[in-house]
Amino acid sequence: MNLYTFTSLLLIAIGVYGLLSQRHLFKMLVSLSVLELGVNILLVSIGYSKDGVAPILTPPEQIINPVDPLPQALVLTAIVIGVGTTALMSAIIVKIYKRTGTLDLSSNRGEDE
Amino acid sequence: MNPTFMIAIPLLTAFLLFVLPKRRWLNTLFITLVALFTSVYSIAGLFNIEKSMSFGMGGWPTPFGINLVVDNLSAFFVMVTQLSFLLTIFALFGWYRAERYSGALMMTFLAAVNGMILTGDLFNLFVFMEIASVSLFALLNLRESSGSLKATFNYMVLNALASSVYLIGIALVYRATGTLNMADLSQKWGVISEASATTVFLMLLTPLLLKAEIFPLNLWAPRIYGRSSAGITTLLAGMVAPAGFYAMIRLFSLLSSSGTTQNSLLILAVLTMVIGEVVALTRKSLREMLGFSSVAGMGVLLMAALSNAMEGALFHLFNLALAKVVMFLSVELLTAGGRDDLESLKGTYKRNPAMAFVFASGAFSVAGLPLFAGFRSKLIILSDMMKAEHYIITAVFIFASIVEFFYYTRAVQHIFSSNEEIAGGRQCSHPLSTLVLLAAAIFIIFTGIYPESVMALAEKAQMALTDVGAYVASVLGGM
Amino acid sequence: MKKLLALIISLALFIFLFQLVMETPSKLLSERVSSRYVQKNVLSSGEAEETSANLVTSVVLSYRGLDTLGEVTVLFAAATGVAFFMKNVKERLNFLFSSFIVQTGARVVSPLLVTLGIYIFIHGHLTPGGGFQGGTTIAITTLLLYVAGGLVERKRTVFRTLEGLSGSVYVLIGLMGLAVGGAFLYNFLPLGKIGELFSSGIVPVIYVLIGIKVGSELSNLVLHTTGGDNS
Repeated sequence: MNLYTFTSLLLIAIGVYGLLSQRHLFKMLVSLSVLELGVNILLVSIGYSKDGVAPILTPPEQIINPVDPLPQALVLTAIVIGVGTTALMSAIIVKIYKRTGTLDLSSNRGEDE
Repeated sequence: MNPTFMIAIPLLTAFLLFVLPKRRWLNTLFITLVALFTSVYSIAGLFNIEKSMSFGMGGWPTPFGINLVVDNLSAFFVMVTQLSFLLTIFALFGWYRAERYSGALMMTFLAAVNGMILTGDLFNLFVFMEIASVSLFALLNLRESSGSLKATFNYMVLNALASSVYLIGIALVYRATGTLNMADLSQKWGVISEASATTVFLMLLTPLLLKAEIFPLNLWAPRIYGRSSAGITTLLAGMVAPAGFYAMIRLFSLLSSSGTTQNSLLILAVLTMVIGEVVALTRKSLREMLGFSSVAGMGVLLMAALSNAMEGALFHLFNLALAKVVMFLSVELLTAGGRDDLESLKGTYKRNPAMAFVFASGAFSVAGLPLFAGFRSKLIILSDMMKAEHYIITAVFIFASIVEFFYYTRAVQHIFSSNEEIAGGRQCSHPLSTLVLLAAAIFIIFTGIYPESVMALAEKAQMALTDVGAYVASVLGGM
Repeated sequence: MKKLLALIISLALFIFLFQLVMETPSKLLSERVSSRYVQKNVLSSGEAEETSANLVTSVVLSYRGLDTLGEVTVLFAAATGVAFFMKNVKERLNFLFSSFIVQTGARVVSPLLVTLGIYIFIHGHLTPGGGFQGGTTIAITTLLLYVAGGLVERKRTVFRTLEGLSGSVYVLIGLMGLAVGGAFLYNFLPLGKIGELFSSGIVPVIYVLIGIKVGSELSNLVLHTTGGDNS
């Protein structure tokens, strides 16, 4: 267990706390982002090796002790996916606000039934 | 069948819609052609599969590259989802004219569901799951209301949570085994110690359980089914849930799990079934009733799959998907997105007799009335479970089926009861969609009388599922 | 009360995850599949089969190319979804405070930013960065110009066409790989030598496409979140 893994778990816990305790739509979105950030750091920390160097070849010599490039590639994908979901969620929040005039999830204002 | 086309062609169409001139009929034409192509291609492919085949993307050997797997099981599921999609596209002709945005989303959604089923890589499965959900989030609001928006937000949050759990699972799997390929992982699964293996396995299962609507991860489902248009929630019941179910049973067969895990999941499945059926009984709104019934149906499938009735489960999945799709679509066409409580449905058969017939055939099939397809599959599940001596669960299953039978008969009775006021009213189904849905309804009855052809497919799929050795050999050996 | 409960749950989760990570064994880097990526020796042929100097790029675009196509699609679906949601929103978000200095500054800085973005994605296979990073840099320009008073307002159709075009070409290149080499996204162009600009076959081509696509997609996201269009 290195420092990065520890931090990432802490961030995940903070994100879950935010999701459980907040009822404001944007605060929930921010909590989710913190949670996703934690997960991403966890993924990167899987590839950590002590004194590792960035996995970029500088020819002609061979690279010695690089960090694992695969988790970095996975994280790149995960980050982009996270951006997409966040954008869509903020759009939906804007729409909810336009329709109901409130950002509180527990309020029933503007329900059309 | 080369699985690449099942993903690449819809994706290409999605991108092309933004390059082509902005004409609604052109978009609709393209989408329909793609749906037809994938359906025909998958059905043609299904009958030409000798053994499990693996296709490495980019020409890299597995486990280094990503691979797509075609065997009788994945091809069976692809076929089911393609049929659902095709029916949906045709049924929506009446009111949905594809503008670019929703048309492109339909296409990315189709590609993603195919990818979810065909992929042989854990992380790639995650990517395709995300595409499918992101595309759906917008589509679920085709008929937008504040209710549907809030329900979607709720679904998004749960989805993001489940995906995060899955990613943590992937991180741990990769850390312990150094691979992400499912077949390769099944060889190295033993490296993970017993205790953490169970947890990691459940973590990988979390988003799949959410997609397959298994309790307690199905809490999003009632609101979505109740508030969104039934024409789009078909995509959930007929495509996303089967795809999630597929990935789940695939992981079950590849990664050995302890008996406790299986039993606890079995309990969850039974709970899903019972709660779904009983709540469906109390619902006044037809859409909500169908939603709960769909949830209960997924419970039945998982229950059968976990208690040695896999063959029946696969056959039932086919019947269930078809019946659900025709029911959701006929409800959409009957109510035209308006009121859908049982009272207001009285006498709607006069407005659209064909749709009423289609609804009835779907309902009777799910309820398990003799002569209809669902009866056959439920019978097989029952007898297989009796053979495996799961007596208590069998009793619960029979009870749930009775409840189901009761509320479906009630709904059909309401639709066919006479009511003077409502006669006439607006008609909103395109003749082509009526024709296609009628054909599907007749096919349901046909399968009920001659179940052999679909049964044979389910049997082959079940054999492909149990033959883990062949799967692993084809993925890791066949380059 | 509710907050206390939430605190307890998240603490429990933290301890649970901590234990789980401690319990699962960690495999040495040399035993993972990625060790073969680092040696560029997946095919066991003895010579470099993939010639991006940036190993992350070689994983992202070569070994796990399908993931990246999916990733681009997620972004595409999200941008389309946002446009779908906002299409009926009439009023627009306007920045009233865009002063003369902001406007002139934006005009001076934006060409530089675009150049930087293009530089980043063209060298994606050699240096850190790539299509996503370069595309994001370009989208920042759009945001800047928007803040400076709607200088890019009317460019939505252009962005949308670019987005669709680059995506289609990406899939078509993949299908060409299928036709030439028998596998989707097969690298059919000459590989060249590690470290040169024109090396590693289709990788730089795809990264340029991704750069254009991500840039136009994120630009559209920016333009749509601030208000709808009526098309």
